[in-house]
Amino acid sequence: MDTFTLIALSGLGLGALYFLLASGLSLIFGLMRVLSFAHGAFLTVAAFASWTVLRHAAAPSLGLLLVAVLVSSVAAGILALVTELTIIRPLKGKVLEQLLATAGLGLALVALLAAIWGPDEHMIPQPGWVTSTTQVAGAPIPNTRFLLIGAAAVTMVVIQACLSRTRAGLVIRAGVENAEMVAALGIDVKRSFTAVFTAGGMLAGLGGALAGSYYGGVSPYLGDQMLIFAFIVLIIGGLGSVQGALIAAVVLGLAQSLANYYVQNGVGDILVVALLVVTLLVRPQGLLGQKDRLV
Amino acid sequence: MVRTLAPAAVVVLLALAPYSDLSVGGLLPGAVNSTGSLQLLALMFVAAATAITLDLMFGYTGLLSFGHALYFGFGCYSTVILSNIGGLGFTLGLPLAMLLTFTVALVGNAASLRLTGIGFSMATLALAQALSIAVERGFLRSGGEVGVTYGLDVLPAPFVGIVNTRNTYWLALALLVAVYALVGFAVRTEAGHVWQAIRENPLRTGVLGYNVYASQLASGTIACTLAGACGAVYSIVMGGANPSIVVLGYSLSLVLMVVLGGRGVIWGAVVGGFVYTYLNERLTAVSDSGAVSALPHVIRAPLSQPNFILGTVFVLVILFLPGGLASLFRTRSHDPVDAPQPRKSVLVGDTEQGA
Amino acid sequence: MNASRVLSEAEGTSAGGHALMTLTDVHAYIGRSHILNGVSFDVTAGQVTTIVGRNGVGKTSTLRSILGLMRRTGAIRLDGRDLAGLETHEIARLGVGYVPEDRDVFHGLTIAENLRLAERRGTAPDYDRVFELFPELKTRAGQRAGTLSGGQQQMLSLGRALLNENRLLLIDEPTKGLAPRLVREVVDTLARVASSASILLVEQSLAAARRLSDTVVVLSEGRVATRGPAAEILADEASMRRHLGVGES
Repeated sequence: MDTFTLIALSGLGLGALYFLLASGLSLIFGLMRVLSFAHGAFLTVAAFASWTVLRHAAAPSLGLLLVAVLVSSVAAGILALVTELTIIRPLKGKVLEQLLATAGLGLALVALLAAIWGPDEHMIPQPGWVTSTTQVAGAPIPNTRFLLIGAAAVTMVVIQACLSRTRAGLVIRAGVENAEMVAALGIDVKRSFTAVFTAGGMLAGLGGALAGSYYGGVSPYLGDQMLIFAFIVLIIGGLGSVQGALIAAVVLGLAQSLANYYVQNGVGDILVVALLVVTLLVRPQGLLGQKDRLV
Repeated sequence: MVRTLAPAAVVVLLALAPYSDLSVGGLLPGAVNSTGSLQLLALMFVAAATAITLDLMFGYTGLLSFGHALYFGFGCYSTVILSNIGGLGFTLGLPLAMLLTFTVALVGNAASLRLTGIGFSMATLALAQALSIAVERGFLRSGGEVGVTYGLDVLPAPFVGIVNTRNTYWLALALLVAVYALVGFAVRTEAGHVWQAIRENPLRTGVLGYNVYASQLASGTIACTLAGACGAVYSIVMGGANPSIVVLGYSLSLVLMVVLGGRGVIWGAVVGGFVYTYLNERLTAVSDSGAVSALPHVIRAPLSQPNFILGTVFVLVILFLPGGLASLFRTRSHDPVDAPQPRKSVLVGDTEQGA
Repeated sequence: MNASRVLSEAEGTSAGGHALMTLTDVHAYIGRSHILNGVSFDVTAGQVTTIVGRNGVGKTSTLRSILGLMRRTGAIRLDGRDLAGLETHEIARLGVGYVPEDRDVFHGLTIAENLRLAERRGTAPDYDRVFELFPELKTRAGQRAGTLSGGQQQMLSLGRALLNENRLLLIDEPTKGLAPRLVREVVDTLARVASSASILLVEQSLAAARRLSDTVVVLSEGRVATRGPAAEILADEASMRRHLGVGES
């Protein structure tokens, strides 16, 4: 039972990471129809930013971790902003080219990180609280799990609040349905595109900093592995649906961790892919997606 | 005349390469007929052939696959693993592996094609991921991170050992010529014209009475089975299989080759495959050379990463050379206009809205 | 005064009022298809100009070209200002309201949110006018637009365009797919709106076109086949049958 609690909460933590990446991708896809292959690299860049902040501290404080998280998010946000302005926007309307360009960018960024800091993993020092455990139902749970789950929950609430209570959110919700009509009402949708792409980058950045805590280190290939699972979360949840991404992230994180532990290492990963295939065959639009999205 | 003679001349020249001990000033690892050079060229041929098979799907039929590595990798791994099984050997292992690859290609495409557009791409990505995970974990005797090599005396003698590098070189060249000819023929048949019509407008092609799904399935199955054959040749060139050819990155690099060369142009895929593989294999060597190692670390380090250069070039090609390298040699009127039709809810210059 | 204005006035197509919008040799494309083949006509201020023609002749494309939603060439001028190079939202902010063919209200948003989205910075939204014309939009403010009937969605789409003081309204087939009672209602409303606005209308129903139009432009295969005062053009039954295919509707 103890083990189960530990594995389940670890699975939720993993799901939280997937969600941080997938929620941004989902918003971006919903509004712009762009599936960004560069977001894995954004996450990795952010994790390196976090490492840069924390690497020299012997025993970093929680405050320094917070600084690292902020720096990471901002770094990834700026990267996403520049990407949107220089690559995505000039390719306006060419969804395939946009997707391919993000793939090329992701490739180049990861290689650049490997060139600068080498291909191997770097340990990221963590505050004592993060590495210690809390007893839940008799099981010692590493606090990173709570950190991740908390961050994902806060992210979800903030996204929902922004979408439902601000004018920018209103424009985004309308733009997800029909960006053309939003423009015909006199609204500059391009600005929403830029804002959403940047916000998605910041969420990837948040994910990057926290992934560094979860795994205790960072390598240039951290984000790409996560990106594949984030894509799967995105498709199962329904492209463009943040709630769908949340549900799918929880289910996949749990299923993957439990199967990897209780059946055989690797089986959980394959189970996730199998779930995706089943979803694609049975309900191609995903849990909460709309059918016409998958044109 | 030029159109048929030029490629033929190139093939003859390449076929004679193993007899040339010219040294091409650092471009190749050694003299043209050195083992290293022939091995590099063979890898370039295999990559080009594989890129052609992807171009058949992506460039000619409009099916963007992010999982082409699945079929290349499956062809490669299954040939090695089956050949290594005692009773089978290479003579039975190879055909059996190709039959299996064909089956996987048929089933995989039949499933993925239930989705269109980005959904199809994601389905291919997911299927390929399953193989990638299986190989990474070493399931089914795939050897995990190390990969698998042919057992002793499994491969036919002419393809074993450094002395026989020229044979594997010719094999790879033959593969490229065969795939080029096959795909070149296929896209000129009536079925090939239907594929291109589907690429331009699946809906209209369907309305005209063609079975879009069956056509796509044919194109995809042919392309993926051929990719499997390329994988088998790769295993002979490399003496085994390794996990680098089943990861998402490999699928992406195949897409990159096709886009780099120019989609929907067969020789474009060849050029893309050549350029990509050459840069990927040689950049590291070049960055160790005198001129580059004199540069400061800030500049040298990225240059030593092939993917940095390739990724950057790729982005630049998409931004500034939408037709790929092939478009440099084509008159505008022949440009394949295969810009994807934007959907209504994306803010664009033109849409599919009725008039 | 530019050449196109001289030309159109010399042809004497615009009776009374000045030409609010001038289209000169407009070509438009969807992918490789050439949809508009050199369309030229004026929209006179204070009038209702109606585009009629068979399906697929480019009526909707004409409106979309004006809004910059399609790739186009040729000159489109609003009060003398060339719209070339302007983006859709900039054109809309010049005072162009759009009621698209399929209403295109935002289904996931409430009525109130749909209207709020249409508010433009710098101008005061005229909710009074909208709620006076369509009281239901006020009483159902919190309802999701996706749950509204076709007629209600049409009212919302119209209300959205009327919220701002627009110079020109582009209205695409407002009666399409509506029950006869609703068609009358929508036409009545449009007639009221028309008394104080300039409208470029696309309309398939001849009855509605007769009731509302001052000027009619007949499109055929991406070109203007004929144009002139509504009473004259719409009365020519032979021509109407030729250009619309169907007779009365």
